[in-house]
Amino acid sequence: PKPILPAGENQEDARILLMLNMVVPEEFADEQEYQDIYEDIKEECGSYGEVLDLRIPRPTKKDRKWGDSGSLREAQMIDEANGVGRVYVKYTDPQAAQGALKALAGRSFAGRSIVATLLTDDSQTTPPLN
Amino acid sequence: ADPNAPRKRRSRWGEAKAELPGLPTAISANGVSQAQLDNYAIHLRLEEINRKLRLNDFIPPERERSPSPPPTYDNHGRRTNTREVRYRKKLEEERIKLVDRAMKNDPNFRPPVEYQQQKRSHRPSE
Repeated sequence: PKPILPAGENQEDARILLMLNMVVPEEFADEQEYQDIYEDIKEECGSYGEVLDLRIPRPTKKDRKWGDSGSLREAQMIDEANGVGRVYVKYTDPQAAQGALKALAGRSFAGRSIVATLLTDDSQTTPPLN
Repeated sequence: ADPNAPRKRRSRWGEAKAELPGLPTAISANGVSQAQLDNYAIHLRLEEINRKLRLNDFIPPERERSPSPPPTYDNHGRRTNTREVRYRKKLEEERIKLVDRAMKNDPNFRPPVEYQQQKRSHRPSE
């Protein structure tokens, strides 16, 4: 596989900012805390340009009754496919996404250093954005 | 306090950037799979946790802290859940979870030495 490389400058059409190591699903159990995190991220990301869409995927409800290891693993795979633990921000303008990447990568959020990258609308990493 | 007053939201954003040498945070997604990106984030977080524990730099600033639980004491009357103990334990537990995930995702992943000792001491029985 290709190694992880620092972001380059040649991403004119990428306007989706993907942030990793920013949120952990355990924080989402409480509705109020989830809303707080959402607003906190929305506010900051909005200062780099117009945000079209912001997604912070949450885990699917896990039914304790069916909590055998098989269905738990299944739930984890579904969460993974849904992008739980990642933050997606779609900007109107790729320039804004570029600016947000520069400003936010390496910033800390709740004591975690944000890892960030830019994705195009047709990215194969299937962001949960339309 | 007025119970109807809007709850004051605490911001989780930190100002300064803290880069780990050799681990860029602004990365290219070109030709890289989502699994690779996620594994890289796990790897960086593990390095970050190790550094925090090594430098004793893991107690968040006041505004990022949640309310302290009631104190607990051991048989000698010493406090067992000081802020330092609680936040250290939190990071150590997160490290175990991350290593477990990394080993599942990547068969070549070699867990750090601290992990085995810690796993024994933290999980006596489940």
